[in-house]
Amino acid sequence: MTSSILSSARKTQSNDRYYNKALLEIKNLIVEYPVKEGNVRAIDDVSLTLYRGEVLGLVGESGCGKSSLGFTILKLLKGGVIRSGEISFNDINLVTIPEGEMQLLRGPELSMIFQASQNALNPLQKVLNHFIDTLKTHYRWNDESWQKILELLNRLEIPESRLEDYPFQFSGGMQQRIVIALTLILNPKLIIADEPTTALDVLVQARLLEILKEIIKEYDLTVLYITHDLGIVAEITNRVAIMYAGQILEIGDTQTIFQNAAHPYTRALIEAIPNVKDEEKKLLSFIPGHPPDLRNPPLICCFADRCSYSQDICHSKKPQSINLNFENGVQHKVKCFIYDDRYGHLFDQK
Amino acid sequence: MGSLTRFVITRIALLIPMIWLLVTIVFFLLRVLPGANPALVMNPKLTNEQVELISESLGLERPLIEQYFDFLIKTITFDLGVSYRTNIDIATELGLAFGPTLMLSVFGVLIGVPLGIVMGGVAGAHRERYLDHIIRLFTIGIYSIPIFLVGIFMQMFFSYFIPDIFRGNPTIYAILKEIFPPVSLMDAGNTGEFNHYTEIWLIDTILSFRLDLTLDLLTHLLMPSLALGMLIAGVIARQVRTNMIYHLEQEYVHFARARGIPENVVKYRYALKNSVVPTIGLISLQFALLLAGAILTETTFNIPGLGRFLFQSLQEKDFPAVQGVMVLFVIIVSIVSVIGDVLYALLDPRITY
Ligand SMILES: Nc1ncnc2c1ncn2[C@@H]1O[C@H](COP(=O)(O)OP(=O)(O)OP(=O)(O)O)[C@@H](O)[C@H]1O
Ligand SMILES: [Mg+2]
Repeated sequence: MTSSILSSARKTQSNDRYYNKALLEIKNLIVEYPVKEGNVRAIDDVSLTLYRGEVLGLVGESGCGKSSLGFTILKLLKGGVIRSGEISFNDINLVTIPEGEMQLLRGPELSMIFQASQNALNPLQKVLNHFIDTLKTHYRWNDESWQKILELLNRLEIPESRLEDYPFQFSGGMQQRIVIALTLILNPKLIIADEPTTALDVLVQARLLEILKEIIKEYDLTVLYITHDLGIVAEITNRVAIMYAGQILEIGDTQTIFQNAAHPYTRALIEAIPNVKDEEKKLLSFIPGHPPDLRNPPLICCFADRCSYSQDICHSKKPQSINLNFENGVQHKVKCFIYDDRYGHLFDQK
Repeated sequence: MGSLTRFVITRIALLIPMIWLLVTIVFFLLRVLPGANPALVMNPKLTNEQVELISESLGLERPLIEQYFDFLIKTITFDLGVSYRTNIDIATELGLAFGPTLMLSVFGVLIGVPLGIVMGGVAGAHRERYLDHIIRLFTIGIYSIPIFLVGIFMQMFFSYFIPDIFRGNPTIYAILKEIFPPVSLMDAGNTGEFNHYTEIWLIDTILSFRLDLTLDLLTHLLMPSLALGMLIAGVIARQVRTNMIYHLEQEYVHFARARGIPENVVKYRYALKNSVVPTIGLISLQFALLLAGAILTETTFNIPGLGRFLFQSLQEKDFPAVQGVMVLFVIIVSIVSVIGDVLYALLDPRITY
């Protein structure tokens, strides 16, 4: 526990190391899945910047669009359509890039660790051949390739002797390590990690998280870390974005979010973290109501129906993103009328 | 691979009880089923004395159990009796008829399996798009049109309609007639022109250094093999398409794309391989269907194989001959199912043996 507090302290000190060179910039992105009854708006006007060398957490309830955002960045949407917006990666516009060029970027430039699942590996292919195919797609095979594979196996504690085994012969935790190794083997500049540890049991998860943290630091990776576990967010991220109903409601420095959350939804989320030691919080608190239907959403605050602070304005207009200033200087944005100079007074009575 | 060897040996050892069981079923079915009773279904043209004579030669008045053991012992020694129709030893008849069926099946499989895999793979990869609709139309057609009709259409089209277009040009007309002969396995008179070592004429003509006859044989095999191949392709394509659609939704496909693996490799090496392997089991299971297809094809094209032999024997109510063919089919189907199992086990590491 103490070590994690120390490490977050270090993070705060080195803040200025990050936040100057953007690697990925998303602007006003809208993504929809066309369905029979209309359109499911999975990404609703999302703007987001990922800086080189940072770990940005993306947190939100199930179904809020986290994976969709990841797949959009990789241009691997299953049935989804980018309606508008920009995604620029290293000054390349990913929205308009032809698929042939995008395929070359996937892997060595940007890649994704898949949501922990038993199905991420080809059942009929030996693990070694997964590595060989992946490397050969992008590089000429040589002695170094071998060294690379062995080094990563070693880092992720995968026994080298098992390279000739098939995926089904591995435990879930080991499969997930292989998935991570397959992503890292190409040295991608940007990694989208989609709940890489969620399906694993607590101990396996803790160890894997430890390894991931070391690797991220050592390889100086830029990571979009998708999870709904705030404990992991505290462990591993520099900044965090709170996603709800396809929108980013709040984004800022991880410590600030935990200590000084601005958005009512973020606060409710943090309140809801179960705490074994704290007697009062032993009862799991939860947010009444459920997320709105993403099909053809109305132009109002998406959290208004569940928000204990909500006023008439929240039910009649859509809030814009507002910059907040905290003393550590890290950009902090929130989508809530409470912080809007024009409407803030409406909430004063509360 | 020690365990694989053991698996193969066990599987082959299991063949014997399996064949025994199936042969037993054949024996009793042929005697118990109404209308299948040989005493009842014998050729109506026979006189009463003749019927009695035959019954006696088959031992039909003896108790069923006694007949059964007699049948078993004779079957083991390949003594299948004598055909009423041809008066020839049935084992010999089957030996003669086996070659054409084998050639037809092998060519049918050689045409049908790759075609089915390619069609199923492409249809699945192009789900609900143009190519998929065309291929599905084809497979549905193959499913719903009886194979003998396909054969008859082919004969009409290739053997008569197309050559007739070129009636004005005798050379082309003759060549076309030569390439698409409508029936039988060889031109008249050719069958006596080579040494019948194995009764698999493809091998025999080559061993006799009569490549002109090999060519003649191949042209005769072309249309029936195509007809049977289409049936096989239709069955396989449907299955492969369904599997392909399932596998293209799987996580490993998306993860491979996320690593930049090219789309062709993802679809046609990863997903297609995963889609084809389980169909091996299907093919060996549906082998009986393919045999049925071969029977109809042989009859349509008048090929002297097992199918035509069975058909003719049934028509003449040649009871021992029918029983003999059934026994042979049982053996073939059993062996094919073992080959299918072993292939499947070799290709899919998840099969434990
Ligand atoms: N192929 C699709 N067709 C239609 N709707 C989809 C499709 N994929 C996702 N959606 C919808 O888009 C929304 C966002 O889904 P997404 O998978 O991105 O959520 P998520 O935040 O990753 O959830 P989880 O935490 O459960 O993984 C959901 O409402 C989902 O129902
Ligand atoms: Mg998800």
